[in-house]
Amino acid sequence: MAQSPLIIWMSTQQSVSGVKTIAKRFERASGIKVIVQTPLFMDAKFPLFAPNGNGPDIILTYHHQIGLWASHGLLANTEFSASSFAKYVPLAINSLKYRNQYYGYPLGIEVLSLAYNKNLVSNPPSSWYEMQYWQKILSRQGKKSLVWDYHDTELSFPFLSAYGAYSFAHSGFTFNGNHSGLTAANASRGIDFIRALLAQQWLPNEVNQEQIEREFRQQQQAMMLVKPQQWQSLKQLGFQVGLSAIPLINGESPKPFINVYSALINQYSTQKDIADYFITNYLTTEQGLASLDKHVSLGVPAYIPYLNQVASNPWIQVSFTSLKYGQLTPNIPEISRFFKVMEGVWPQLSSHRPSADILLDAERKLLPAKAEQP
Amino acid sequence: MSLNQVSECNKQRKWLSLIDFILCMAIIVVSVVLISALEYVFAVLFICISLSGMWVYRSRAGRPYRLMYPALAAIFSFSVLPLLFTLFMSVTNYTSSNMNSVEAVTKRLLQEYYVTEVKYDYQVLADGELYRLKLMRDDESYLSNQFSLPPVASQALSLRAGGASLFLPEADLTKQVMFRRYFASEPLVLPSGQQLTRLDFSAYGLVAPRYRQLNEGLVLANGTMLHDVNTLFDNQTEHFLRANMTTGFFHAIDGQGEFIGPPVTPGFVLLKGADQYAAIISDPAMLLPLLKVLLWTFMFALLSLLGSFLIGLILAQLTLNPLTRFSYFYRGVLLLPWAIPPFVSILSFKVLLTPHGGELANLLTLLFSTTPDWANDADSARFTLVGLSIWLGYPYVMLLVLASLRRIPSIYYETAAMAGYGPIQRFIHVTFPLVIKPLKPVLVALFAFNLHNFVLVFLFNQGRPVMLDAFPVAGYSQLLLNYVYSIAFSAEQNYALASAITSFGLVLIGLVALGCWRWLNNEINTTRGRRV
Repeated sequence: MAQSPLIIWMSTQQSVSGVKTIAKRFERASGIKVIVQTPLFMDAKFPLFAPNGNGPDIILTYHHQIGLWASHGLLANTEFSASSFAKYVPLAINSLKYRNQYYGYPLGIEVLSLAYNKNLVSNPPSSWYEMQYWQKILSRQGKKSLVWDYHDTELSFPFLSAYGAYSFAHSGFTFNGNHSGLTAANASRGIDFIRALLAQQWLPNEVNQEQIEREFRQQQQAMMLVKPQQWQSLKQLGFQVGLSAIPLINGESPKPFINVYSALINQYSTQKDIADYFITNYLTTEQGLASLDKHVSLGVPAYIPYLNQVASNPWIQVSFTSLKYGQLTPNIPEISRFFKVMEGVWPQLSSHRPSADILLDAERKLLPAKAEQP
Repeated sequence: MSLNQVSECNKQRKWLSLIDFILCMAIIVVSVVLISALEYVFAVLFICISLSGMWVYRSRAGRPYRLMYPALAAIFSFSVLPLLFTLFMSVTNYTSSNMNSVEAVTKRLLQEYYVTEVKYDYQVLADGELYRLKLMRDDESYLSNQFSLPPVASQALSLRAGGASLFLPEADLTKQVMFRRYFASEPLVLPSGQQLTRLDFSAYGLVAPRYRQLNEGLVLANGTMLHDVNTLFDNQTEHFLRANMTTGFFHAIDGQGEFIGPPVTPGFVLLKGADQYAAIISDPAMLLPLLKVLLWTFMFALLSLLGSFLIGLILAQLTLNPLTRFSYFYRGVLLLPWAIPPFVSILSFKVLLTPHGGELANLLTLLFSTTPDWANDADSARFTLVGLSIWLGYPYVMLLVLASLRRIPSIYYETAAMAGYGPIQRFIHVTFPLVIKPLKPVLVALFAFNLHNFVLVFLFNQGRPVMLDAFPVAGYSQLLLNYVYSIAFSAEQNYALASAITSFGLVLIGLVALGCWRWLNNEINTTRGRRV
């Protein structure tokens, strides 16, 4: 009876070589082989593969999958002792809670921030007025200020949320899938805001992430919205890049989604104890997180002893302050429907449909049960 | 017939009946195994196929079917059965959380256990070359006999109290893993007789079955007595649990028998009847996109078929022209699109046709001052896809047409020429009818292939642009298969809905295709009838 290997699934966007380093360390100490796999469509495959016993032992992904997977019985719950519970940032560990149980371990907290080229922008805009000022200055030089792909919900929804929109209502860390905030407050003015940028040709109708990154690299575009995965590459551009929070709009802060990168254990794994041991003793340790962080940044590390080590890093400080304004991505199963619905909202911005109608229609799709009531 | 021959014949028959007997036994054994593994569908399939096979090959009456039988069996197992499965799934609530029958789920729940308050910390200690297990809880402490890792044969652990003051270094991780491998599967027996189960790398605990079946039944407040196998008692929370036949999950019930509390996973498969179909038909956000997708799927298949057929036919005709000295080379070039794997050519076309930057897009802009904006414009996307599929499909048709063109006797052409027919008329009246007849099965295959040309759409543009009012999200250039794929394998993983849409779509496409094919057949027959 040979010892079966420990299988880890993760995305190529993340620190694969970091995990491989840790895996090697674990292999040397335990004699258990660790296989790191990066399947395509990992999040879609996991629910199909896990119940048949073909899934991984550990999957590294974002916390918003937890509700769906836990309600399908795919995830092993975690019992934290009081002392180990206290070692994680409360926000991060609470994001893993679904129906009064915790699933997995948090690794890093990611939030969107504004990266700016220090050669072009002397001090980062803190409000949209300043952003408009920079737009004027830079366009005179034939350059762009801030451009993003507005079809991406992660990037565009924060601008709606500055006008009061939110995904689902919550009390504490528990979200209510029957109450959406798509039309809350002046949310439709957020749509108008992006439409105005489109009308001014500030935002192009069709732009992809590679194009934006290329222009930023070539110093043709001064600012972009970045996730922590992009930090490492920003440091190697040959010019100084600064990080700041997304500027205020009408005095209100846009609320970027807070995503918690976490290590989840497959309920159907035959070696949950080994997976748990690997995570607690090799992954969420100062050494382990440092290996992860070295290749692809974790954002704000969720493990407090390691966070203390890197707390002086100004970019982590920027992220940490942004957490105060951000909104945690709900981890309830309905969140996937939310992203699906929002995907259909952005292409409508170039149509003539009134902004309020677009959101009302989206909300109707999001809450189908509500639509049946008169 | 001599006596000798008769006895010979009887002997043979005896042998044959022995073979029959062995085969029957084998069938029974395999069926029993399949049934005991709860694989009822495969058991039924196996019994049907093997019994009919026995009848066909072992009896006189089945003799006429011997040649046909393998094909029929294959069609049934690989085409009809999956179709039936799809139909079945469409009338259930099949998702990744509801995959098994209620009996299987009950069985699985009964195997679940929970950890009671009795929990011991454990350590594997290195005692020289040998190892000891130490168990600690509050002021209790137990120590095992010495054992080696890996253990020698029939080495068992036995515990005795004591060892609290024993301090030995902890074994390294490799040995702990080895301990897990050899000793974790067996329960550990305390001197008091309690059986402990290993929980993880630091703890043993007393575990108890989480649920038990109610043999005595449960009397509700209103006097009804519940006595079924799907009512369980939760030993940990002390609730009664019952299968809810409307949600497909087990729920806790209160004294009135009302379902309360959250669903207990996993859920079970429930027959939902025509719910999914009703949802499709009643929701315009689902029905209209589906009809559009179906219409486009059919148009796509038809246009690709006609396009590749005509282009293949014309090109084949042209290569036969005797004046081309380099006809071999020329034919080779024309066959190139077929030789390159579609994966490669589709992705290269994607790059070449990128608006503002792709080489082919630039060329088109130069020539026609416009280029298909296939990412945003529905019609452009559709034209581009049809063009691509013609590009991928014509070499196949061309090759087959070449073969059948060579077989047309030249005397037909000479006769036609003498009757005063020009080249185009000869093509229409001689070549076309003679070529299409042997090609018909191929054209059917090509049509069927294009009906589910998933790879092309998936690799090229994922069916974009998206329809604004559709939910679940649908694309203007999505084929049925792409649409179903995006429903079944996106985040929501609604297999039941995807199956319902598949069945719905298959019926419609099947009807249209049948009608279309009949019409095409009649057309050919009547033209040929007229000529004769």
